[in-house]
Amino acid sequence: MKKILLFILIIFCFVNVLFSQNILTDSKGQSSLSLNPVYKGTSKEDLGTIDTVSFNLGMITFATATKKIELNYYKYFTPIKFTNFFVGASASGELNNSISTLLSNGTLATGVNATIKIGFRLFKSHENWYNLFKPGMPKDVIQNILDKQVKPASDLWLVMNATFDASKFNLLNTDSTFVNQIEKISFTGYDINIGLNYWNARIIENTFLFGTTFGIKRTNNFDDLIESTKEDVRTIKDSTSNTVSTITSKQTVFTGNYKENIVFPLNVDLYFVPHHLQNLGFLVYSRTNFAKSAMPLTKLGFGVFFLKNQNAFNPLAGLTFDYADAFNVDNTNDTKSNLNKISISLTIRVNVVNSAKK
Amino acid sequence: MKKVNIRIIIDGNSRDIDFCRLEKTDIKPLGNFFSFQNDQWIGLFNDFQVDTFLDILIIVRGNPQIQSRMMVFINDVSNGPYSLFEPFNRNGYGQFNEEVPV
Repeated sequence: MKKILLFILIIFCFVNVLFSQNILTDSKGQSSLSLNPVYKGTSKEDLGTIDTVSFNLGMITFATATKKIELNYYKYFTPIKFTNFFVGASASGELNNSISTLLSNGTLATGVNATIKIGFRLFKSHENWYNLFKPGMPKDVIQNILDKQVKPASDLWLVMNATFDASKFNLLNTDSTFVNQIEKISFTGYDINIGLNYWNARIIENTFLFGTTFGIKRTNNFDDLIESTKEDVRTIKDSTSNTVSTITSKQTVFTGNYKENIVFPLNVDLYFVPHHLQNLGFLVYSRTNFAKSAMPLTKLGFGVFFLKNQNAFNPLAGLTFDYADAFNVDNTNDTKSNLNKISISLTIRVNVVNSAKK
Repeated sequence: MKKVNIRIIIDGNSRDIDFCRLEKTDIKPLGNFFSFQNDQWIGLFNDFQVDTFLDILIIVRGNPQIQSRMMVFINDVSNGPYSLFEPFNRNGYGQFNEEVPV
């Protein structure tokens, strides 16, 4: 019992806790899976008021680890003369400070992010339903056909994602002269990729969702910087009263070897839900960043997700484990222990706002 | 026999609609009648001829072992919700099979 309590304590002390909408992601919130759209549990009342709903606001998510608030929108189209497709968009704002510095001084390191997702269905498994079902067939006979005479349902999608983000923070360079030590950094990044998503209801008694994307990304190593508080103390002496005053100003700064670069990320996700396990799903993923001037860096990860009513697309919470630089090609992090390459993330789905506007 | 306006609403647990038969009429192409709005499938059938009951058979696909529900509005009078005869089976299919009073 003590061991279990200790494990739980460790988990909650060291993991990122993320509250998010799509929780089938790695610890940075990245995923190549786009087919699990905004989920909304549908009640009888929802079904009855559909004709008065003109706009779906989607969901707002709040992530405590990144102090991020996000607004999501998703729309699925079923055109008559074209394949089915979906469009998703999200916009978010975030604070890059840690909670402690946020409370101790008011200097904010801020970021904004906008994402657009588009998917086109390339393939859908078909059965000759018109020949299978004769008029007047009893329900159990039809069910028997669905159980034993048809192949598992599947579909394949072409997906495209574009993310743009901007952030501002103060970089402290102690090697510079005193007045030039703080550099205000404004970073604009992008991540544009294209790939495939494949859903299959049953492969070896598992529901499968497979995704892979490849693209181009302008990124920085902000996460590797160390957040600090810089205190400037000024002393003023009044010669007449012989009083000495000190004025202290605090500023949140980030230190470290700051870099910006362009990489070509290859993301692969394999999510599967075993039919014989109750409310459990598993995610295996890799994130490989190819670059012109460096060897490809690969992060491998594994996640366990807890579902509601066995719904593969509706995980309530998940625990993911990342192992960065899995093939040890980056010499700059050789001083770090293997433990430092591991990151654990607990993700929890919340539905803060899920309203419809009349 | 009388002509009625039918609206069928199926929740978003159904990923897609594969087959629909109303009375003895096979509805095709499905895209002409069903659209996906606000996380729900909506089927509209105007001036549809029915007797005292509307026989509905709809085959939908979704993640195995979960349920999906359907509401049927006939001339704006609601019926349901109806659940799948059985949750989505291991092949990812389920059937709505109902006789809805008109």
